[in-house]
Amino acid sequence: MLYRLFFFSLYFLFANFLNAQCCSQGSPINGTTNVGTVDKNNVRIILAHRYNYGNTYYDHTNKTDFKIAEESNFNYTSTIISYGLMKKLTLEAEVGYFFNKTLKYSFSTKTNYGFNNVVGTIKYALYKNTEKRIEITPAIGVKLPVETERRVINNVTYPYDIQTSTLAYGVVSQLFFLKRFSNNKTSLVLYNRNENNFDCIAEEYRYGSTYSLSSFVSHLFTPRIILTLQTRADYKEADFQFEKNVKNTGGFVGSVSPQVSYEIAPKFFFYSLIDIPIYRNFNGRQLSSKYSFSVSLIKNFCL
Amino acid sequence: MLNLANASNLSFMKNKICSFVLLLTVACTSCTKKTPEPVKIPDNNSNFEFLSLTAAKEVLVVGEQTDITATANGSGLTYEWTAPIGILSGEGKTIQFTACCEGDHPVTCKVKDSKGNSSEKTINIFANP
Repeated sequence: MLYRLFFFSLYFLFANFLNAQCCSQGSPINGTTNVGTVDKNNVRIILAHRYNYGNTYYDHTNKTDFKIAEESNFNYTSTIISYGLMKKLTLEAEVGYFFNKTLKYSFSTKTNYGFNNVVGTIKYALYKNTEKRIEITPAIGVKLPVETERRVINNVTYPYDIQTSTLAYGVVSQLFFLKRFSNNKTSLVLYNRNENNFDCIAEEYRYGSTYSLSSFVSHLFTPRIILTLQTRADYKEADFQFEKNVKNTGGFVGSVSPQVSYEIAPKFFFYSLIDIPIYRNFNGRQLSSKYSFSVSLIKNFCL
Repeated sequence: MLNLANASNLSFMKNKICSFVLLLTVACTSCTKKTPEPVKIPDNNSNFEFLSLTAAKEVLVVGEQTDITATANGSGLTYEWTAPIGILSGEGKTIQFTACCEGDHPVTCKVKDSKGNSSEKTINIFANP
């Protein structure tokens, strides 16, 4: 039981808010991110799929009837491979692919597809106190662009807010804090993730950096099922172009994300979550995400 | 003996790091390879000319749409459209442009002919709130 709880606690999924923009949810920060390190010579593979939908514009904090796009949606699949290089050091690589990223206007529909940035990360188990049941794990990584130029279809360049990656290099930093309570059934995780984007490689444009703080409270409901409630605050800076901020980009979103995890077999887990924004304060008018849901499979094994 | 074991572990770790970096590099580079377009030498004797780039309306309100038309002479013309912000739809010599936000929206059209000649023009569409 204790082992199982310990195991589960390290694998909360981080449901990122995909930042809104003028006409869609904007260029995403990577969609599904686990936290914590893995043991030496162990490998963890996560396969996740996420669907997102939005159809409502917000002007700062309020809903508005303003519409350019009628709705937006995407399907995004990502995989994360983690390897425990040393007892305290884990290497991680994440790659994701948009099967569609769609904007429906009254006059046409635009669909893009392609790879998100690849993210390579090093995680270090900085502090682990088994008596106090506390863990602190920082991580640092790089975002590498797979696509470097905006998508062109029928000789028409697609706008920035429907691109599948940031078209630029970037830096990702994370900090993970875990506290298990004395009943050994309940855990609290605080998780901070920042993504700083550099200028686009091919054009003068920079997607705004993102800063996110989450709290996860989880409880061992049955020996195989854990219920988790994530609350999250996301802030995205405005995009930057021609030496000024791009209007109608960036802002703040607060979300809740209930999650269920189930142990299918030893070291093999199924996760699902739904992500619902409950508060928005955008810069200007933006199309907001209404909801998203995600399902994941996680497999651990020793080399 | 202990030193030999440490050296062996170090070598093992180095191999693991190299494999990880290699995997990451392959993942990044394998998807970016693009076939270069064949280079065409411009034909100075052709009648290619990009005459004008005009919009039905140059001042819009946010969310409003206008037609933008490129007029050019030449054979086998293709029209490439790009805009840093705003939404382009349609294709060919006339496209529709929708202003996404208040302020300037430069729209650029590059016209090419079948003989390797090309020229581009930019028009600015202004949007009021």
